[in-house]
Amino acid sequence: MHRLAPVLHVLGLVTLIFSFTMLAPLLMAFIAHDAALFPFDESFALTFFIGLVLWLTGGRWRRELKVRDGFLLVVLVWTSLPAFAAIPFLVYAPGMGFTDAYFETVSALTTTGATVMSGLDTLPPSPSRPSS
Amino acid sequence: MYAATIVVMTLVLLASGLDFVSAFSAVIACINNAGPGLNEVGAAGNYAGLSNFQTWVLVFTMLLGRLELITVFVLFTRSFWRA
Repeated sequence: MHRLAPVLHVLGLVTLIFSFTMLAPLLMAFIAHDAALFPFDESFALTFFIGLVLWLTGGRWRRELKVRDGFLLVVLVWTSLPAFAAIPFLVYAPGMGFTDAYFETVSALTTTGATVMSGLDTLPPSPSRPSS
Repeated sequence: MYAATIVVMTLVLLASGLDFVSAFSAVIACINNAGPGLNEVGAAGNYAGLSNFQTWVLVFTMLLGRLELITVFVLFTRSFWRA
């Protein structure tokens, strides 16, 4: 735990910053008055809270990161951020399932652009903008 | 290593029951973060037809492609975790 704590500390900070990217679609949903206001509202709060907790608790073991920690941190960031980004999908479309939601967000964050959704034109404007 | 990853991932998808063109082009599209592949995952369709397992394989492939392989694979070596 003491070896991983500094990595989790930085991961928390990244998650915290990442949560603010959900404010853009939240604003979009607010302007467009669409049905996706609540999912982004909830996801922002959850992501912000988890990030804050990780950041604050990890801070007790704060130290300079080594190269080795860097590898772990990068992979953790790239696996956990899509999971947080998938929360709006899970709240908005419960039928989607975690696998498809996670695929969608990994695809978005890695700029792959592969999708499992069809009929994108009929969705409200904000869910199509979370991380693409 | 890049080629080997493509081959292994394609074989995994083939073993899970996808046809060759779809499997190969899906892996290529994902590891290059390119988007749509051919056949079943081509421009006319999307990745929704894949099973959960196949989806996870492609998620892993996308991460591998984005992190340039080594970053991820180094976590699976024993010497990395040795103190």
